[in-house]
Amino acid sequence: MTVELDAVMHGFRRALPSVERHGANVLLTRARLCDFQRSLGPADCPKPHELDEASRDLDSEGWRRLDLLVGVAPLLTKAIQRSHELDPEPGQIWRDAFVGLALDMPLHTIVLLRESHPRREELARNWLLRLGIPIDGETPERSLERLERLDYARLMAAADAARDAADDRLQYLRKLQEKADLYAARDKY
Amino acid sequence: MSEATSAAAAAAAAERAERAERAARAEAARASIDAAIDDHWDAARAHWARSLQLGRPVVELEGPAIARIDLRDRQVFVSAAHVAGHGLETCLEAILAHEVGHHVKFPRSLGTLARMRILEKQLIPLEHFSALNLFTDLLINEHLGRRGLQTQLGRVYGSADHTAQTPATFLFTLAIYEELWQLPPASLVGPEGHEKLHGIYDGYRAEAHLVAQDLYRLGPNVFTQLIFYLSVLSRYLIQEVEENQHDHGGHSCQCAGEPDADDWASALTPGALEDEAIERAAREGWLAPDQIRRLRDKSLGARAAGLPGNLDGTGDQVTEIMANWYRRQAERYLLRPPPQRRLGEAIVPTTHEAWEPGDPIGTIDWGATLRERGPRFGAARPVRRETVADHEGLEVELWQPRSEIYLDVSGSMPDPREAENAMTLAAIILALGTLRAGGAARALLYSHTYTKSWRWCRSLRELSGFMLKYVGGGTEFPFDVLSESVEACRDKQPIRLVLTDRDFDFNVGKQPDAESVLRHASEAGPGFILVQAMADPMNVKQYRSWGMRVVDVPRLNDFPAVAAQLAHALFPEEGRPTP
Repeated sequence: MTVELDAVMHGFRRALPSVERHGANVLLTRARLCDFQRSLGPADCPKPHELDEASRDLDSEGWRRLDLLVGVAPLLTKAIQRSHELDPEPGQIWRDAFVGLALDMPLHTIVLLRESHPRREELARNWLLRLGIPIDGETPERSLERLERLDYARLMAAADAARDAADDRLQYLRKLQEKADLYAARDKY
Repeated sequence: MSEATSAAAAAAAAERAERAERAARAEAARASIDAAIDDHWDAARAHWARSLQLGRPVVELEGPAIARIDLRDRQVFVSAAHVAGHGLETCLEAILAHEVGHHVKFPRSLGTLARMRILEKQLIPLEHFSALNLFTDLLINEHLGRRGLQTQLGRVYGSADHTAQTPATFLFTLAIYEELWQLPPASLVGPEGHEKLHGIYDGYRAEAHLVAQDLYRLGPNVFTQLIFYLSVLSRYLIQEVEENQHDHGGHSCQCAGEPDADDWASALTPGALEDEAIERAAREGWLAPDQIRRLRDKSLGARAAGLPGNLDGTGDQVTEIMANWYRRQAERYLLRPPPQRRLGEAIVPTTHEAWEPGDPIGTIDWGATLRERGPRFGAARPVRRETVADHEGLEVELWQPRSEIYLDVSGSMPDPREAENAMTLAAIILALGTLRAGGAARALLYSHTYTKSWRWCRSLRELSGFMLKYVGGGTEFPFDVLSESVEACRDKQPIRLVLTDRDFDFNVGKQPDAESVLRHASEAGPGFILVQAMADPMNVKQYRSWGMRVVDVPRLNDFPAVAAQLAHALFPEEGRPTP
């Protein structure tokens, strides 16, 4: 069963203001995650110590991301159930697609997600990939290609490298600026 | 007729025919596009506002770009040749909406454009380079893209063939659109454009993506967005291309209408939004510390470097702009009183009407009363008549102040066209004070030589323009001109003001008849006032003994404030000079 990407992103857009405003209540988020996992199958509910261990490295932004995912997850209940009908270990969903995703995307702050359409899309695509849900109207290859193009961590690294590599090219500009500085210096009397 | 001649005639005829056919085709395209505009104009405007009063676009046969605007008269132009030539008739709504966006939001006014240009020149001091059009296009197109015009805009930008000669800054901006609208790589940039950008930096797409993501989050402060955009774009400046005028092959619309002197003068003082943008850039680390320092420099010289033509010395508007700036500063020191209606002289009689008890007795017209009502009835029911002024504001003060200003423009002071010159500003304040009191002024600028504007003048624009002249040599006070002026003015002596520094003392020391000239000038007129920076107390005592009034200005920067106080003292509104 496929899912429309726009529907997931719309869910994020609706949930984000509330997550940003109220922050994440850790106990409540844990409870909601367990409830959701239980709705997929009672046996798959994480044990408290398992959840403690998996979420040990989540910072406050990480908990907010997790809260966002848990809030939007009911939209995908049917799709997850269909996708995992043949899965021998559907219990890994909470670990990999929820806590793991919240941990693995540290650059995606809630503010950034609210303001940036590409980052919401990246989060949605990553999530659906981890949940094993295909995107409506796309081949898996196309989805992966698009996800790679959106990879924020890679883009940031490339942009940082561009800034470092631009030093030589900026020499010319610096000379022009020094000349302009001389002009401005005439004001100092 | 020789064979060669007839062949040439035939070729010329063929060329004429071809030209005529081309012209007919262009005219047909113009007419067709002109008709199509009616179908799209309302929709184009609706992308920005429900009700928008803008003149109907003009369709040009040729034109420098697909479309352009003129911010002065709020006109939109569309080029028939470009639109038809690239097969963009189906994109008219996007083309028109884009141009409307320039008028309505980005940059909206020439004042904003002037501020953006000054900021841009501080970061990229190239006289003939400007990315402002590309920048405002980005903001406009993002808005229109969200409103469903993305495909049309993509077609417009994709219809050009970009080569290695296309400026890298333009190509990079196209790459931003590719990322913004999730278009296939190089679909707008083209293969050659991609090669060129790739040659500059192979990760250009990553930068384009991040600009597409972050630029719009930085709104609504357009200056923050501009600094961010320029901070990235400056890495794509290539000397050999960017030193020349930009040629975007008509695929970047053109924004006509240069800011006027008033816009530029206003832009020389940064506003709160610019300050906020600079601080944000510093916090976010978009620019190197030396660039931030440059942007934070609010001195007149730093800002004035961005005036048109100032970087390469071709600016013919600089004097006018700076004069305007000085006038604005002078206004700050002398607050303008609210305008008052003044009646002219009451000489026109009104019609007669019955006098009622309680009316002033002086208004009774006894002659008319006796004529109209006789001695008995008239005594009981007199008629009255008042006089009123025929025109407003014809009343003229009996005393009109006149100021004769001697301004030292020697090398110890900066050129007022390039940097803030406190003494020039003080002179303009004094001139403004004189004019406000209903008077006139004239000025002489001196250094080792002098120049004078000796006609009594009531225009601050003219006076301030003249006072921006600069000599910049030694200092020689023109005692001869002073003597001649005292003789020539006879019984209509002006207040004489000399704005100078301690060099004046040397001039007095060198001039054998200085004492007699200065004494004579002091005694002849209502005042001879020396406004001197860091005056020597001994010399001040001597000058005062000669009848001069001396105002000591402790520091050069105090000149404007001292001049303002002096103007208030000398020319209280509508009053006489204080004794």
